[in-house]
Amino acid sequence: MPWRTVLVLAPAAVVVLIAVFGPLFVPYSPRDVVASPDLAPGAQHWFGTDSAGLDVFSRTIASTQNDLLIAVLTALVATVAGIAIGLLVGMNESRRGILGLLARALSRALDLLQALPAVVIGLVLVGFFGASIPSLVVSLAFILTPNQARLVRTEVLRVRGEAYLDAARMAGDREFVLVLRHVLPNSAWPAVENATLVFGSAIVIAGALGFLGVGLHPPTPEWGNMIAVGAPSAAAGRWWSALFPAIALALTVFAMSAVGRRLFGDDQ
Amino acid sequence: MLSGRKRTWSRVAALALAVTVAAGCATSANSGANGGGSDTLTIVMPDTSITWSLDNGFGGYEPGNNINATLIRKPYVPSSQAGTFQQDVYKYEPYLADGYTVSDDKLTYTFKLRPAKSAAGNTLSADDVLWSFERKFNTPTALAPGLMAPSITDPAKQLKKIDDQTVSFTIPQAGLGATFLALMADLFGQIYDSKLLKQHVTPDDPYAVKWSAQNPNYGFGPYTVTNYQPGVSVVLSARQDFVLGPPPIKTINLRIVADAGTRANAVKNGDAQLAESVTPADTDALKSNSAVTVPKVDNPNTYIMLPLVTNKAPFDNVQVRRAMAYATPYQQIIDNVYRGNAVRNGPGFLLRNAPGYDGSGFPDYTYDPAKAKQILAAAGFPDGIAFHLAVSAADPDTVSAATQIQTAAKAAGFDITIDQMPAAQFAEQRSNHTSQAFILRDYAITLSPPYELMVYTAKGSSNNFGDWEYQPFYDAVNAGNALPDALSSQAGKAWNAAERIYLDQSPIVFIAQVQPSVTYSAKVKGFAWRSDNWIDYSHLSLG
Repeated sequence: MPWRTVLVLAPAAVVVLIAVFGPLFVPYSPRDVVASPDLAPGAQHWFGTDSAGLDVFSRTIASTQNDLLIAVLTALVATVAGIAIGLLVGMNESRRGILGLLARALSRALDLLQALPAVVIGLVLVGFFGASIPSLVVSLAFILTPNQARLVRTEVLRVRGEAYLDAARMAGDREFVLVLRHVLPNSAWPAVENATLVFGSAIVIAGALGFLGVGLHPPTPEWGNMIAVGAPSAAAGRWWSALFPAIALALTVFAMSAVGRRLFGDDQ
Repeated sequence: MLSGRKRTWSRVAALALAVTVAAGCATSANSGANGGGSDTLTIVMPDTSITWSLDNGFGGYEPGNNINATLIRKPYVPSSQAGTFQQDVYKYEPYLADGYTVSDDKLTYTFKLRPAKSAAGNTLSADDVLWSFERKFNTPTALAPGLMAPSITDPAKQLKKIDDQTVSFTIPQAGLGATFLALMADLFGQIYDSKLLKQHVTPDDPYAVKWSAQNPNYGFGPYTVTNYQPGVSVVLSARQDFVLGPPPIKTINLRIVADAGTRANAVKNGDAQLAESVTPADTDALKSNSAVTVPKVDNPNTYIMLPLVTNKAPFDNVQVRRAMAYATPYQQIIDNVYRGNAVRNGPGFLLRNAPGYDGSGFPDYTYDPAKAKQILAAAGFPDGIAFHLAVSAADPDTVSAATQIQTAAKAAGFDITIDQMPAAQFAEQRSNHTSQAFILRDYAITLSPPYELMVYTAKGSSNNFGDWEYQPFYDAVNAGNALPDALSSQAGKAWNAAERIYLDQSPIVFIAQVQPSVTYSAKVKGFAWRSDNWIDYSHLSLG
């Protein structure tokens, strides 16, 4: 493997390792009050404690698992759903009849969803479904699927005019088989490439929802929640409880985006 | 001659210079306005959805309380902290009325009105008093009927105009007198300018409630609203013709600042002179700053409390409720969340300085996880019990307190899941009693013992936090109400007996009394704690 690729993949690998094994090695319980509140970073509490007396280092590490889980599941759901919707819309929107009508309606619905601020949609959905990892994943996937679908749709519009599709039809392939065998492999790649960006967006939006108080319930370790709890303290000079999770969030998004860019060849 | 590109850059530079100079001027101008001279005070507060009177429903009433006035009021007396005042909640002094007299049977209270002027220039009359109460009791959104019962239930029958400057109120039981007077001194008893409001009634709005929601200057209070931008700012100007004389501070600028840390910093940096709803951590950090005052009063009436909703498991079981009272880390919450800016004077809700109060026979609720575990086992839960605890995301101190409880109660066998929710959703579960338990800060404005005992326990009330209705308790309260004087030592024993039942049944775990969440510049004098926890701007001055 080229050293450059190793260099790009290494931070992401570290993040994954922290997510998997980090919670096993944290010095304190990330959910329990372990010391006095607002202790500055020091030998006992490396990143200090927050305003409730929770250990910021343990929580920053433990958050990686929750945030990564949310982001991976969201990227998976949004990409699969985006590909399915993109195929459906792309193949049918110029048709007559009920299927064409449905495809066009779906296309306009995607436009509408993209016009709304993601955090506002997230606030409504999490308010409706409740704050848990599954509901956050559903909400984030709902927010991030339209973009995936539009990427696939655009590619489907190009692919569906290709001669090999006509050849397959003349060979007797049914429409469903034709889409599965020929259209899907040739039009899904933009959504797959974009999955790492969806991953990063999921972490950022989950963080924003946590910051607004509708993320995972406290004291579940999650970077957005931690930033929300730490922000008022930061304004008063107690910077550590917001800064460390913010750095962790930024580095994770950066590491995962770098992987995407490297794997799909647009990063030199 | 300049080339085109050079000319463009020169223009950009000139524009930048102009903007910088303008910004500099604006900054200094703003400093003057924000920082205020000796007659201007800037207050930063969160968005409390300012509501000008109780007739418009729930909201932030502090500005409204400074533009309206009542017939009597609770006097301000010095607290133990030099320079800080507090209300004597069992005495009353003249305000819009010269005072009151009581009939021999202790049922009729007669008020002689002063010739006070409203913000619109009209003179106070008995008709204003009668019409104000008519409006309070005939407006669907008004809160007075629920809050003034049983002292006042039918103003048309209970209020009487003796002459243009004299009115009387007749209450159904002599024992309700203490509560009645307290209500008349609180915002429930505000009197409006009926001459002005009657000019704006319509068939759809027979008491001009909708009109007055947008036009707040219909009161007899010390200030008048001169500028109001909802969610942004309010400017109040002192009234020169106020019945008690012009207030020392001529202009009050209220600025809505969402972030608590920024509010604290505004006072620290001199951009504002008073900050409200400051977090305990920021208050603690500012204690050592000589330019800032953190007020401390002798007997704050704000409580942090943990209602245990009795209409569903597990808190439908009184033993589980008692176990929770022993699983709550009281001192840890006082130390870690309120940084010592709270106090636990006992397990109850009645203020200890209430006449006749002795607190005897109350359960000794302290953090004792072993005892809690024992009670849980006896109740049939030897392996512990799980429940959800609702908290409002808008109140960081209660979220933090919930975290302390979650950690500490594990040792007693309670497995708590914290349900953090937006403020509106929290308010809904609070009124509908849908959660298993929740944690909040709240207070009784009217501090008469029977009112305090019933404020969270009244039958069928959305304010009955624990949805707890217990006849022996109501009988005990009624026994107190039947006595002629609610503040006598005999009545004190009755309230004590009722509170003993209240605490033994433990529908609410009263955790601690919390100090005012206010900080202000050391230049500000005359801060007075009030039972409604709002600030009386007319009592403030700048040194």
